Amino acid sequence: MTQEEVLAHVTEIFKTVLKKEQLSLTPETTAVDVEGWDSLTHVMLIDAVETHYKVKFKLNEVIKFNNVGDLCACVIKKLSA
Amino acid sequence: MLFTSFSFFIFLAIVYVIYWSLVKFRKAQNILLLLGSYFFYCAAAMPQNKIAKLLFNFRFDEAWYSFLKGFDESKWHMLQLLLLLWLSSSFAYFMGKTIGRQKKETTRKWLMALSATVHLGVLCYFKYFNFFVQSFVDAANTLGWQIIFSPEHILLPLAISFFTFHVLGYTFDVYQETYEPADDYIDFITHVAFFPQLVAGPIERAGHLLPQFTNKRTFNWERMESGISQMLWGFFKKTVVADSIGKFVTYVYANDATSSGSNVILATLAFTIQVYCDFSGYSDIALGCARLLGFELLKNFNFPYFSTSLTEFWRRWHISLSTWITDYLYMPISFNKRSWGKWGIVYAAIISFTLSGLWHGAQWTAALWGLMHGIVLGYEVLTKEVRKKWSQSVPTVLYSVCSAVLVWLFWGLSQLVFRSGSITKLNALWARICSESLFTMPYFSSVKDGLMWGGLLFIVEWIQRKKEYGLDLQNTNYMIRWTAYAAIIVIIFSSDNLNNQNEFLYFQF
Amino acid sequence: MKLLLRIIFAGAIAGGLLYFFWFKSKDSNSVISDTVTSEKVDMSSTMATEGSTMNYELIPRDEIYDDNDSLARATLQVIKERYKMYFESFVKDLRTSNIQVVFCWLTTEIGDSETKVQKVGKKYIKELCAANNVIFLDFSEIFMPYKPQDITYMPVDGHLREKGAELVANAMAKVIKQYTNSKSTQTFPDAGRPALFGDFEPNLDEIRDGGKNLPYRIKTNSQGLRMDYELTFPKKKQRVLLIGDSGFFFPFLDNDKTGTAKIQAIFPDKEIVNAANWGYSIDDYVTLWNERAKYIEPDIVLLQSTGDDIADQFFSHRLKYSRNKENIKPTDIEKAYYKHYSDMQMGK
Repeated sequence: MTQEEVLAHVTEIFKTVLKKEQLSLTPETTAVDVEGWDSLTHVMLIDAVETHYKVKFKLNEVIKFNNVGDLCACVIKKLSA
Repeated sequence: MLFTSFSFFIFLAIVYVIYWSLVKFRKAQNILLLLGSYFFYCAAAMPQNKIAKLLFNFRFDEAWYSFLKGFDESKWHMLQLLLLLWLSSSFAYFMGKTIGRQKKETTRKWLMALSATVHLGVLCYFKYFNFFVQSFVDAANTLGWQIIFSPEHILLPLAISFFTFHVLGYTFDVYQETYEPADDYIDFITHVAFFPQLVAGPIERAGHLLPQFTNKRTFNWERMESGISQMLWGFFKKTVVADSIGKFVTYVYANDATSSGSNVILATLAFTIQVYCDFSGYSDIALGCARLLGFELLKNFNFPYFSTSLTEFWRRWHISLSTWITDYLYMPISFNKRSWGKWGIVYAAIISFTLSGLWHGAQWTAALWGLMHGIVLGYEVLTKEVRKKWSQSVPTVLYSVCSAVLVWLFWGLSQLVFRSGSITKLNALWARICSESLFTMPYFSSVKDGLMWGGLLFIVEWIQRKKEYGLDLQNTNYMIRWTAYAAIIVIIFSSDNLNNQNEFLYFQF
Repeated sequence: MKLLLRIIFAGAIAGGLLYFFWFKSKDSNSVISDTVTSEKVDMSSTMATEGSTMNYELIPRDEIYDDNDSLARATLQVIKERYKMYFESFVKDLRTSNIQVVFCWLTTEIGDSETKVQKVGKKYIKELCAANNVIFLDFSEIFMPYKPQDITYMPVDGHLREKGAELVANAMAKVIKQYTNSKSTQTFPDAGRPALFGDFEPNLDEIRDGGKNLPYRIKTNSQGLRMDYELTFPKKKQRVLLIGDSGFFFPFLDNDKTGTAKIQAIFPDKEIVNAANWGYSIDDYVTLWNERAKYIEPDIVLLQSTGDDIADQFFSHRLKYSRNKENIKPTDIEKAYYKHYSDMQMGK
């Protein structure tokens, strides 16, 4: 899996969870850049990503996500493990 | 030592002068702040303490004499208090280093658990021991067991809730590897004890405050002006607005069996103004004071009464606490229950907020207050789409104003619960509201001054709502700025309330 | 040019502020004058007396009653004499108008909590009353059966609760009944009557808490008295005046819960008036009477005083709390004792 592919999937997931029709994510995107992505929905997004890829994150991994890129990188790491 | 007392001025002035004359010696500056903060803690923590009173009035020779004159209670209490602060911060420093060195996950977990147990254990002992035992006894008594319990006289150390959360947050951050363990011992314990934020917040994070201690300070005239103006604004809110309202609120709530329903409602709404002015005023003074010494503390209030939802409210009220609760309570719980979807969030919100309520006080009404907020927050999460539709079907201004009013009224209701202090009193007050006395004229004359100033405050803060604080006049013409500062000074010193200083409400935490 | 404008503007602002603070420091009730005069020891006091530039911050109390200190004994004698002088002039004044005067010994420092100040004071005042033929009413007996917390706000404050006020009211009612036909012979022409009969700000309606977090609602009438109605002239009912210090002022109780109100409820056919105030001593009752209260034309005067009022006669207390601070002049013995006392505080 490449980062672009993961990014594309993640974008779709975000669109579903946040109920948005249009959304464009880059590796540098953070929560402040996306309307509706806050501490309440954050966990739902993580859960949706986990379900899609059938991986499980740990809390101290999630905490270290500074942007979408970190999330994608972690997904790739889990998949190749 | 009240922030609005003359002695504090003198203390601050002395510290300020010595501090900036040592600007080339960062270490010396930090040591000065450490000693000053411990001195401040003694004077502030025990206003009735004989030695503290002498220190507070700068009668050093008498204080020293009292201190030496044998082993009396005042001296012992003071030592205990200082010891608690010092040991708490030292323990956190030590644990930070230890956890940081450990590579094995299980050992780290155990160390973290030990740390949390010690810090929370100490907090719970001082704060909740009597409460828990009394509640257990009450419950047992209603079931028929006769247990006699006379509450132990445990003196609640000032600020313990604040610095415990501060160091506990640091330890969590080290454990979760989001922050490197602190290197310098003096810098660490100084930043915990740093007097502007020690006694009533904001609850700082090591990541935010500690680097400011390890870096050199630079003197900056704009920051001096900003610091002083923010302090002035805080004084205004506290002495002119909050204190004008305090007596009336205490009066109505103290006479819970006889106050008219209309007075209870008026007092409760007035209390929302008082608690905002008192607490945010204190935060303004803390931030301004820290800025004078070259530090930036976390913003603690962002004009909360302009919020259009409770969720937004908690991003604007006591921000340092709600972010602490979010990061260290809400996140782990909601993450743990993420498979429940929205209900997991509701669950996490309810638990986090109920506990946050308890942080405020060892009473069931405090827990109930928290629970109320948790439930309404949960409601907001579940109804997000529906409310969005409503907001689009009416004019924006109407929707915003109605939402803001509703949020404020709900906040008022929760404050009624909180301020009542006990379930019996709450019932008494509620009974008054539901009686015919609700339709009598309330004592407007007793609060008209406070309400008038509150109204002025509202207007000023609305105009300034995009700024850092009400009197933030950074880019305005000097004529406006200086006139505004002079006007505020005149208003503060014209106030009758200066004669009768009321304690900051949040000091009891 | 711009810089000049800035400087002028700064000067104007600074000047305005300086004027404001100077103005405020003149007002002795303002906290600024307190700060200005009491915080720094080296500054000369604006309340200095007779060319002396010392600041009399300390207020000795129990120490004056030390039998082993010869200077204290002399000072005690001085203040006792001063009390006697005021007391006798007051009583004489009342007697010339045929006003019935009753002395009320009202303190909750009784039994085990009776201080030396009260013990010595009670003996002295009792003798004074006897010598001047004034009835001495001792309220200690009515308080004896009760625990302090039941009748006062102890441990926070020693003043009476509603229950205590009720006890006082009932005891006073008995006395008032005895003199129900008493009538004063002095009347004043309306033209000569001052607007205010008491020292309170007229038409007040506010919540105070006396700094003890015990809020109460105080209402005053337009005549500066703590009552819910106005006094009219010529009077149609018998008037009873209560005068004294905080004991008769009934702090921490709403108007309708004070002892005054309770007595009024017992006697709807009389007018019960109260001119008592915090921190007053015998000299204040006399000056208050002469300047304002006598124009009420009371038929009975209930004078409340205790041993504290004797101790309060020490000049440094009067300088702070008297209603006529400006006219307080210490005697040489008192000044000598003050020096002696402050030396003791430093060395002890």
